Amino acid sequence: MSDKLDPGQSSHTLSVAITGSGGSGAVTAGEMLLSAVANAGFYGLMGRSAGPQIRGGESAVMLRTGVHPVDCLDDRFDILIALDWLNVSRFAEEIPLTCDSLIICDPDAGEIPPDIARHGARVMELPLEALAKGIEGGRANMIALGIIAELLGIPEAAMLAVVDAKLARKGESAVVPSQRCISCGYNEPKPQQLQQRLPHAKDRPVRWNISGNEASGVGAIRGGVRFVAAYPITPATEMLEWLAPNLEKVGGVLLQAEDELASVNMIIGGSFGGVPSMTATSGPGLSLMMEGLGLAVTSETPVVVANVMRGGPSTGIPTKSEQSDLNIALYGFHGDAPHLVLAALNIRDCAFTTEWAVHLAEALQTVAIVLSDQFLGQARSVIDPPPAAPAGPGRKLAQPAAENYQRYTLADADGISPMAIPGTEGCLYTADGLEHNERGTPSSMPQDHLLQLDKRRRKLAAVDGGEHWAEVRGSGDICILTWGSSSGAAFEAAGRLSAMGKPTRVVAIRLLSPLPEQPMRDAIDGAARTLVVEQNHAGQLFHYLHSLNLLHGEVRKLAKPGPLPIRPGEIVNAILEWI
Amino acid sequence: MPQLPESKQKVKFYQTGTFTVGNRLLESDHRTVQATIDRSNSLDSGHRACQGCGEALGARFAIDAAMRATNNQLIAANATGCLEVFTTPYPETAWSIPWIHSLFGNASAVASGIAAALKVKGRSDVRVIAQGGDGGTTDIGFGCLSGTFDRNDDVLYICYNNQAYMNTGVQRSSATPAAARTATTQPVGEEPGNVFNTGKSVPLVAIAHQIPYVATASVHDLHDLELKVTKAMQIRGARYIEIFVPCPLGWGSLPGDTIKIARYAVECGMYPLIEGEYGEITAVTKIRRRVTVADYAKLQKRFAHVFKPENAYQLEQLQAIADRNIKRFDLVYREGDES
Repeated sequence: MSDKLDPGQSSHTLSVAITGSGGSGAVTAGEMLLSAVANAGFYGLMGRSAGPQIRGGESAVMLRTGVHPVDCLDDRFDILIALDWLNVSRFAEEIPLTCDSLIICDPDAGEIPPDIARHGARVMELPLEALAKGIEGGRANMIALGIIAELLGIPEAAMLAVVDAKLARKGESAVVPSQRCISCGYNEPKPQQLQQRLPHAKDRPVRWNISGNEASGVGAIRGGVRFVAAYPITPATEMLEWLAPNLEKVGGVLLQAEDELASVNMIIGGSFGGVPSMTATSGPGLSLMMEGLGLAVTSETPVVVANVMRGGPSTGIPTKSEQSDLNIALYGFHGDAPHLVLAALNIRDCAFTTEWAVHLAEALQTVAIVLSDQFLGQARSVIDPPPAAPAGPGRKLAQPAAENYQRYTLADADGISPMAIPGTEGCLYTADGLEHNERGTPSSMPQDHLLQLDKRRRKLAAVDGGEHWAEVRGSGDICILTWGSSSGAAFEAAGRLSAMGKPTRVVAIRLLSPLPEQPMRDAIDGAARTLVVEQNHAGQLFHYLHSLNLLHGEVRKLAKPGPLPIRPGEIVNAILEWI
Repeated sequence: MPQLPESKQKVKFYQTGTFTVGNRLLESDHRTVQATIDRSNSLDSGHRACQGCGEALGARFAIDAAMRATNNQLIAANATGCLEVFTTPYPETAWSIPWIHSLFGNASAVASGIAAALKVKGRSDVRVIAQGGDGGTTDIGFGCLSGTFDRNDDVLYICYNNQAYMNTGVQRSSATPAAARTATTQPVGEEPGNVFNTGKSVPLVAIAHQIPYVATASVHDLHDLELKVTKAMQIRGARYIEIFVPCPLGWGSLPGDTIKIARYAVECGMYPLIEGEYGEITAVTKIRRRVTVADYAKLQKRFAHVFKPENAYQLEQLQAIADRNIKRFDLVYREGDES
């Protein structure tokens, strides 16, 4: 991973929004466009927005593409193509336009709604429906797709190949009309053009077109997870749907539980039985799981919880993103319960961070909570294949026929004691949520409690975050501190600021707890101004870092709740207003 | 044991073949709530349920009937699920009764709390309903529901059973029938679909709690549904009604087939309509025109695989389940039966 900032990322990318009512095919068009972007050798990121409806209803696809990896949406869109204008106002805030943007719409669809028109964007009216009607079996979304792809500069062959790949299963009667529509969109005279097009991509290395939830599943399998128990919850459900068939391919099992209380305790059982285990959930599910996770901490049973954050509290905003579960991940336990909290920084990093979390949890015999969010989880991205996480030593197991086996022995300086899988000869012990002595026998003696608390704390203190605890890029006396999905916007903002002659560094934290304090102090050393950027209302990271007494100099926070993403321009403005 | 009202229904709608028409054949006070201008419209138009949604239909009839039975003195607690989602976001807010969303697994507990508060306030005229889908009832809400039954709290719990988690994209629930495909049950392999003989019948579990009233109903026979709700509201204590509500999206059926599928489910024996009181089954709806499970299943893509020759045994197993229900509950009409 590069420690360089890209000063001009915005100018190397193009952003497209496609909107339409239910059944208009906006999402299909977006998915095909992302595939074509990948085929043509570019990177891309595609987020989706929909209301909390079951089916139908309007949806918006937001796609950004460029020659470098894309980890956040831009401040504005170059193209908005509306398949119709029904209920598009619901997305108006999510699709910022400028007077340089280009709105493409069908004159027959009616007037452009005021909250779209107010930006003063250029308008190009094209008869999408009429063109589609001219082709047997044609659809307006495919016409639109051809128009966008041509404007962006995607070779027509790459676009047509996607149709072949996606629709071949449905036969020629599906492929041919769609390809004709796309070609029609390419050839349709366009009175307006974009100010730039994508350059020719030089080569086409192997890339993945993947969502964050799928990437987390990849990381879990790479990390060695072979048992997953989970309960459906938006926006984490795709992780269990992806893992169900894919775990089976590697000899693993997925079990759908009857609720989150069951799923977390199932994985405790699975791990107690010797199989690395994980569950996937979102905020309300994590809330229900806390008691079980306390058992995992106390009984020193390694488990991993992938928590895909959504707007909270309570049912909150299930279909939209927010980084507001840091507090529960850090502090949700009752009692003193040291454990691991990690956060993926982008879609590609979902694989790395989840894999790393499995290795750490197994090595330390504790709970690892991995935070991603709805945006990372449900957006798709064209990425370079994710790197492997540093392998851990694995779970320290008791040897059969050990003399005087003590499950929770204090003998090891690092606090990690050998775990006996049931059936290990001569290694009987009580695994208990009650406080216990070294043998595992429940004990309420003050000394046992203190020693075991110390032991569990000591294990965590020994975590070596190495170079992976954070992504630190750039230099300068302005410092942006951030975590999770806000990192993409932070890196881009720092690149722009540095290009303006205001050198800025970014520290995007991956290992949030235990936070490696000396590397953190080194990373922010010399910063005169520090801006803590996160997508929640309270400034949860800001307060956490203060509680660790890590922040010095002038410190401010840019804490903005979901569901709107933090855009790079907002961070740039916050810094420029400050200095 | 309280005296229960006799059925008011004088004309039986099996004669019309559709079960849904026929208000005009009835005395005005025997017509459905929907036929009167005084209906409460408690679940109003403008919500965003899918076309052909059985749950929207069942909820409207059930709640309006409960409103009539309680003189509009009704409070509802609603579990997370399709019903909650498609009736609440602005501007599709469709409820016109006091209504609280109770999270996913807690509707019956919240309702128990409301009932307790009404008791404290001495408001015996105000009644409480809890409602949810099969996921919120048979899985995550099962513990709370059992508690409500056990305490005999004055709550009517209505479960709209569409046999999977539809809100999150059609995952299996413990009400998913054998062989049915969902997003989390086997798409291929030796036994595609949900495994056999693992179903959880919450109506029978509810009867085992010996509560005053339990019933199953189906949206193809809305008179029967209304009568059961009306009867339930005339009883104090814990009551449970489960309504069979086809889901075109999750079942892969045509929106126009919702009523037909609901009827076939009952007429093939897969979904018996029963009533139970204080631990005993007290009534069953007899099947006058029996159809096969194949007739029922072929209207739904979730069962498409059972029609492949190599999976013929699955169709036979499904038919065996229906036959067992028919035998167990003595469902087939014979001349002289009270229907």
